[in-house]
Parts: sequence; C-alpha cells; structure tokens
Amino acid sequence: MANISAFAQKLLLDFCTGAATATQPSNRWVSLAWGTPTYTNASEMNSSYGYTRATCLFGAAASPAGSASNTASMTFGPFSSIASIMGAHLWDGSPINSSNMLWYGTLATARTVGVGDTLVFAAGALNITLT
Amino acid sequence: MPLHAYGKKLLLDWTTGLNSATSPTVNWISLATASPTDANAFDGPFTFAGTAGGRQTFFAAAAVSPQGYISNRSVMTFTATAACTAVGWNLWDAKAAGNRLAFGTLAAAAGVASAGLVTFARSTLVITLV
Repeated sequence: MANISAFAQKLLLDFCTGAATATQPSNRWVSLAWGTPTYTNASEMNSSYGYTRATCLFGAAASPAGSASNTASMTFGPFSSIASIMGAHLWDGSPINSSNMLWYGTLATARTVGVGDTLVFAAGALNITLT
Repeated sequence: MPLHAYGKKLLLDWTTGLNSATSPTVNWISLATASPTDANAFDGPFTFAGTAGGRQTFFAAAAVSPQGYISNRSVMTFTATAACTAVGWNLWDAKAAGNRLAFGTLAAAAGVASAGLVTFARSTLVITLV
C-alpha cells in the first residue's frame, strides 16, 4: 500500500464518498526527507541546504497494477551543505514547509550529497502505487 | 481497504491531475459470500427494498483525520433471499452495474437464513484507506 499522508487519506476518502468537498490538487511538487517520513511527519529537508521542491508531472496510472510514475526527470540542488537523504514526498504546493503532503516514502537507496552535488530522479524513477 | 483496479486508477489519476473526474454523490454497498477479490465481487443473495442485487446506499460522514476512515451514518439492513453467510463487502459507484471502487472482508462473518437480516448499526461499517 502506498504511504498516504493523513491529509491525502481524508482527501481520497471524501472524494470517493462525496461526503465532504475534495479539492483536486492543481499541481504537484516533490521534496526530500532527511529522516523517515510518516503519514503525519514529513521530516522535510529545509531550504538552507540549497534546494527547492521540484514540479512533478505524472503519466496516466497503469491498471490493474495501480501505479503512476513521473514522466520527466527532477533535479534537486546543487546542495550547499552535506546532507543524508532518506526519503521523498509529494505535495500539493510549494515552497518548502508549506502546503499539504500527499504521499511519502523512503528512497530505495539512501543518498548522501556533498556541497555542489545534485540529486536527480530520472523519468519513471518515482513510483506511486495503490493496493 | 483493498481498492479495485478501477478505484486505484481513478484515485491515482485524480490526484496526479490526469483526470478531472467528479466525486460520486452516492455510493452503494453489496455483501459478498466470499472474500472479494479484484476479479470477483462474490455478491451474495441479498435484496434491499425488494431490489434484486441487494446494493444499498452507503451514506458516509466526512472522513475522519488523521485516522483515515469513513463509516456509515445510517443503519443499513440487507435481507437474504437464501441462506448464506456474509463474509465481505463491495463499494460501488452505482446502484446497478457501475464500477467497483473497493472491497473488503467483514470483521465477523454473518450467517443468515432465507429472509434473515444482516444489519449494520450506524458507524459499524468502517472503511479505511490504508
């Protein structure tokens, strides 16, 4: 099952039932986590590391697999400080420390970046699944 | 709550901006005599208000956050047209035909005789997303 934030769980349930207004996100951004994100705590890396949230574009979800992935690469950095990156999240707004987290997860392989490094998510590398 | 393939794509595409589907205004629940799967709803011999197929309107209150669940805000009563055991449930977007959004297994199976009733008191049919 996808790691769905508390905000997105309510959003999707309300969308399914029509019991409350569910506003479709108009755009999506990805940011990075220096800890392990949870459904209520993003552990979002702050902007002092020299990066910003990146716009994320998705292709149509695959069915019946129930997965969607990014259609364009996303580049974070260059970083201004050394950092260990554990995870990533999908948001409905920007900048860092704003808006609502939708989905979150840990990287397949944690990364450590140095000053001047960039971190790139290639197209198709960010996958969201629902089970 | 296992999402049906249709529900997965609907919600993913809606969240990622690939569709602009509107929220259904009403949902329906049917009862299953086996644990539903993506391929088979296993709808059982139930009726509601004399309508064969037995889907009943599911009125939910706004989802509870941060727990992430919805529940029925009205009593739901299904009448069995043959002796059976209700094991699971299916969530639909139409009274008949339509699309199955999600499915699940009841916490406790309910065996009934023909004409017997399976009743869900308010807030007892709880559906979670994760």
